[in-house]
Amino acid sequence: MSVDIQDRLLSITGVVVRWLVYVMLLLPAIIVVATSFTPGTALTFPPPGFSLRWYIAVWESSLFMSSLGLSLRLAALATVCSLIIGLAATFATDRYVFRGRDFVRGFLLSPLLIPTVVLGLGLMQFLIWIGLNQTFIGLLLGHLVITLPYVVRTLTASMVLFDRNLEQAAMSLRATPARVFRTITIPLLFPGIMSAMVFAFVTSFGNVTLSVFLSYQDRITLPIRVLTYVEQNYDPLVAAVSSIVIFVTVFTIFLADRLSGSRSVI
Amino acid sequence: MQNIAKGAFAPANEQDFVVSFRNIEKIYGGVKAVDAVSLDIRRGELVCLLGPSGCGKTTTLRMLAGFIDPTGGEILIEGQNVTRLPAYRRDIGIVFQNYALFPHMTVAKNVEYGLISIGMKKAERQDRVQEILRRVELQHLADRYPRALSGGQQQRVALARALALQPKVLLLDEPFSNLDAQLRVRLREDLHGLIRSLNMTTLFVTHDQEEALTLADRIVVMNQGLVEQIGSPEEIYDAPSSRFVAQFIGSCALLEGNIDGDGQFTSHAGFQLQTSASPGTATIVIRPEYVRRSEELPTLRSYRAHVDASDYHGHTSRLQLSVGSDKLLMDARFPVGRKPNQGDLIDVAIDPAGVRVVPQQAQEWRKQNTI
Ligand SMILES: Nc1ncnc2c1ncn2[C@@H]1O[C@H](COP(=O)(O)OP(=O)(O)O)[C@@H](O)[C@H]1O
Ligand SMILES: [Mg+2]
Repeated sequence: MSVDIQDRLLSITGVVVRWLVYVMLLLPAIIVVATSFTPGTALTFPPPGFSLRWYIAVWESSLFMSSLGLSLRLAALATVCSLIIGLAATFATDRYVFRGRDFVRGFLLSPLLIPTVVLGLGLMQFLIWIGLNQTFIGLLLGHLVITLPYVVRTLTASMVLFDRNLEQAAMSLRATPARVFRTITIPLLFPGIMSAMVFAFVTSFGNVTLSVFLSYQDRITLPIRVLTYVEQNYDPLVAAVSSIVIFVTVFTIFLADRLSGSRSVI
Repeated sequence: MQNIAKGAFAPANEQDFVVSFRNIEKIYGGVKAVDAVSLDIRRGELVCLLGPSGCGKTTTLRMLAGFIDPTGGEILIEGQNVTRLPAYRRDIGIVFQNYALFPHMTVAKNVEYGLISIGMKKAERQDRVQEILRRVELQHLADRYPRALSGGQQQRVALARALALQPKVLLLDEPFSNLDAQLRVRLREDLHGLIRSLNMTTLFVTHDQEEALTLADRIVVMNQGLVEQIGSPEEIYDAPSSRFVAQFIGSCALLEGNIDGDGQFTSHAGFQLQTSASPGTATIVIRPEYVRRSEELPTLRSYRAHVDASDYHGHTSRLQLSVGSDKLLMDARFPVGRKPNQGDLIDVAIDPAGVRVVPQQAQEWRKQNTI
């Protein structure tokens, strides 16, 4: 009997906790998105009506639009670059035994362990030293440092689950290594690649801590622009911008999920 | 040595061998996983690598497929040295233990994969796929994905995929180990029929002696990377060349002792049996079906045996017996109600046809070579 009650109590607690987590996670986003549609000039929840005036304001703000463009470009490039490097590195560490393999593995993941502020400060000084500070390349390099570990970790996880027999079966069917890679390896790693790309894109697109050190003059990423704007103004414009960030993120995940078929990306 | 001699004096003979292993060896971290394996496989022959788990069967098979580089020795396919040839340039088909079907392709696409590799035209490809799927009775499943197939169906797809390219040799790595017992026997017969009808040269790996005995033309018994014995199923069963082979294939009693000048064997515990072997220390192998009730073999010496255990198996009963302190096994049919029970005493005789002497020297020699 008492076991029964304990069981029920536990399962109820479980449900409550789960919903609390959902609400805590989702509520801020919902509030931001809702307030962004306000027709008024103050951030109020719930909004007194519905209008797109603050979105139009964002559209007309060259500052925000150039930052949005920069952030999208930066995130896209960081994603592609870290995917290429990450794929090569993961293949090497997964398939070959060589001296220092564990070191390379650890090294690739190490940015996850270092506080991003420390990383940002160090990177800034390093870029000054090699003469790449205040350049787009410098910004991109910085973002690569933080996107690469996510790519490597996600790809490593999906490669561990990869059945090497499939490649060998293809090889025994006279497929050259290039064809095996194209028709077996890549298609089967596709869900892993998609989720690696999502992680990379979202990490770069939303990053503040590192970009603070690496943005400059007219090259200011969207999250930093929002931050500097909020220091002086407090109007629904930031809610609209933040909502755009949320939309881009959600859209990225949705797209990746669609593209990789029935297998879940995240 | 034998191979070299054959190659030197009778090169015409080489033509009949589809596959030759010559002193093939694979070392993993200082341990010989495969040790000096030499083997010739004739055209259309079904050869089975048999041995306990970890004895090096899969490694040997994979070296032939080209997935593993041997540390020593040579592999020939139809006389061509393929030891350094990559897998995709060897003419082999392989069915993996887990079948390794491409999960993102339908059955038809799986079978078509190899045909695309060799650049076959689309129309011809589709005909070939249809034909081979009909052959394995899977044409109705052509558009299914592998995950929607039963284990037996997956196995047949894997077989169809490998056979579509008409390889010189077919490799099978424990293809029945993932199937339940009943299905296993049926698919074994199907596979046997198919391979025979295609006259396909086949190298087959298993740890299941029954599978090997029923399927193979020749069995290669392996143990710890070494070949223990190569022979027909009858030779392997009836004339095991070592203790290991005798024990691994079928059940048997092994008694150790000495043989005197008259061929009389005396075990260390005193059990005596007439043999025709030459004198020396020896191990004798007694198969259970050759231990009979003494009234059946009245001319032979009779032994009084104590029944330690008695199990009914349907077609026969298996008795565990003690003669003095030596243990024997006995398989026999008893009339209804006459099956001896544990604790009974019965009189048995041993049919000399079922007694093998494993010479002690052979074992000493092997031991020295293993270390
Ligand atoms: N990649 C490997 N690295 C190290 N040892 C291996 C490797 N593959 C196989 N072995 C060892 O080689 C021996 C033979 O393995 P295997 O050929 O798979 O045996 P079987 O197929 O007969 O069960 C085993 O002891 C196994 O542990
Ligand atoms: Mg094996």
